[in-house]
Amino acid sequence: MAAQDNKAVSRRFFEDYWNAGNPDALAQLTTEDIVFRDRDMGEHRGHEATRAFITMYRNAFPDLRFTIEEQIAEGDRVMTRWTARGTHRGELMGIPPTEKTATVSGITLDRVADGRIVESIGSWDALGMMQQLGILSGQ
Amino acid sequence: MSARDAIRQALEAYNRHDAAAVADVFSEDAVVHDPQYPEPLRGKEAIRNDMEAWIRTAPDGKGEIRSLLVEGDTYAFEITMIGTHQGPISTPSGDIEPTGKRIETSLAAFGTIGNDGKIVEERRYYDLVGLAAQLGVTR
Repeated sequence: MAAQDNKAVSRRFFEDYWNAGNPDALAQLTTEDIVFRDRDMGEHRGHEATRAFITMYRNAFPDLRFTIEEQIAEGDRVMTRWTARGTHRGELMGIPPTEKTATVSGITLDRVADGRIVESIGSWDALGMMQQLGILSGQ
Repeated sequence: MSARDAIRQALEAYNRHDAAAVADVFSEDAVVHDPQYPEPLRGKEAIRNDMEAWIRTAPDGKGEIRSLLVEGDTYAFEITMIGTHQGPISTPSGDIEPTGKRIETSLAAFGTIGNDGKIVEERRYYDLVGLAAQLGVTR
């Protein structure tokens, strides 16, 4: 599959699954044994674990929206630079809702095979999110 | 110099702990967005100062390219870094004092090179919260 088609797969995962919450998008766009790694926030293997992790974020930020800023693809890899914005209205890893809105940016590196994401590694500004929500100790 | 060569050259310079040579890969008025700082680094000198600070943080630090994707004058990479935490790490919420612990982190970035083959803009992403947790520091 051409590198440009792989970009579309990565984009659809953000738009159809993260943003629109289409439950079928996970199986359509990722392999059953997907390795979904949120850099420093842990590794999630397979559809169930990936769904649980993303659902946790979507429940914590019900209006969560990713905007794709830029993509580069080469071979079977795609890097996507994104901005995410959401309001903290649900529990987030034990932190009660702050009702504050945060905007963070990050990069996701996907490996795509036959139109599905096999591995997805996210790096993002968690410190920026914590600062904006006012949940850093001493804040 | 191609974007691929520029990144390789910068990493080799970092692995020799030569901050000036890292800065030489950037244009005089390059802009670097880095989560450690509330405002972007502007210009070669600011970029060199930041690199010197990181070398003081981990004087034995070594980086390795995991992924490097290039499309025209745009690049994206993921680099893993390993070293010993021997100098302070500046963060927007205060310094992390040296712990003597092993640092193992990764840096992802998107960037652009200009006509002269020098980097004109770079956006870096890494998780300072995860790094602080690794060092046993609660932020």
